[in-house]
Amino acid sequence: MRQSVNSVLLVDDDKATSFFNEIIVSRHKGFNQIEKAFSGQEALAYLKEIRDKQQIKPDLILLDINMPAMNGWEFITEFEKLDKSFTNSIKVVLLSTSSCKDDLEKSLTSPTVLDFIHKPLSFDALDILIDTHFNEYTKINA
Amino acid sequence: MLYILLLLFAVFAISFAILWVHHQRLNKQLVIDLAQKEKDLAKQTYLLELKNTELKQYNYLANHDFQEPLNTISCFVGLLREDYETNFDDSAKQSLTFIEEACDRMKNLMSDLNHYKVLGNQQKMEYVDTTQIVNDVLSKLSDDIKKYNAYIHCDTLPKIKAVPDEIRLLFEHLLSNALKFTDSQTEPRIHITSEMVINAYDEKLYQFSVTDNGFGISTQHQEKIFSIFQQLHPRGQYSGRGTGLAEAKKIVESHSGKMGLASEKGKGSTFYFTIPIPEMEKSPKNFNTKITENRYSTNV
Repeated sequence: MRQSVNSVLLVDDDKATSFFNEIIVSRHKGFNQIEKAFSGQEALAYLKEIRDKQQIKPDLILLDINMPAMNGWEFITEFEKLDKSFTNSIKVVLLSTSSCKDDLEKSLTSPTVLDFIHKPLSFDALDILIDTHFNEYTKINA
Repeated sequence: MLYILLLLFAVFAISFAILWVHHQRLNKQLVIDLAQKEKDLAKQTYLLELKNTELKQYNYLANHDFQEPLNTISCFVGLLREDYETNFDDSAKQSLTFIEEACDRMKNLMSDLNHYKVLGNQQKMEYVDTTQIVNDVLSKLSDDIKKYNAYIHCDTLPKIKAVPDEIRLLFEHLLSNALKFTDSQTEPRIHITSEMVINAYDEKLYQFSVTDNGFGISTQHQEKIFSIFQQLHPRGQYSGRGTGLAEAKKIVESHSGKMGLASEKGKGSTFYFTIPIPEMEKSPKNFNTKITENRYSTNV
């Protein structure tokens, strides 16, 4: 049995992509709660509100790279400034169209970025994501 | 006598002065011309840099920004099909199929263009045995060779300095074209040869040629076939997406060679390309050569 992820935060500025991602994630059944943010700032504001106990803390952030104003990388820089005891349990995975080598290489060296998924999001990609990064739960539950 | 000498001296002095002034004027003009040329060159370099930056930006656009809306279209068409296909009538289903096909074609065009773009950027050249390369390509194409019942003859070909993968791709395009574009009653006969030629600058080059007995290319189409995405037949009639010869030409040119063809409608084609002879092999011994005039019928 595949472990389900309690809460996921989808960060993408494109309404259509966000709508599509939400449909895929909600149909996948591996995720209990889906939250959305349409910019890096909005995602950051959401995380800050959690610390005020107003929102649910995500276990996973699916982050778009190419966004206006604050792009994915800039969000990561701000994310890294947050309290480590708070951010430690949040897994950040990049979700991007770019087959750009630079982004891929940067994601490999970044201590915060756990993985890199190419759009479009699919059930297969989500299966692999859960199996690779949320596996320890499976072991405990087994 | 003295007067005559003085007069002569005066004449010399005056003509010397005139000459000197003229010389100075010429010098000045040359300096001005040179400065102008330098200015022109600087301007051209600047314009070229500008164009290069523009091209890089365009490449980035083609890679990223164009892909996103395209992905969005195909994602939602997929969703529509999955969720509502059973409610659709035939015309609506047909429309979905057309949208999906157009998306796929656009994706292929973009990836082909990307592939074409990076060809020839590789600087690392090594010694390549072209006979070995052709043999590799022939074994890769062996299914097609059997299917068309083709007869292929390859001479012993020289070693050249080149990017191996690109030379392999070049022969693959030329040979698969030679196999493919033959009418169904004819068994393809393909001949691969090479010889040494001298170009207009007195440089020695290897000229490779691939000759087939296919249906040939009429003169008016001979230039067009080297442009990317140009096909002479309706889409789907023959495999391929119209990138082969454009890629072949780009590979040859990035190896400082030239590509051309001699063909007549109904009488087969010969595709030629030249590759400069590596420095240390200007007088090859192991290779049976005869030096002839460069005999391109079409230089593209």
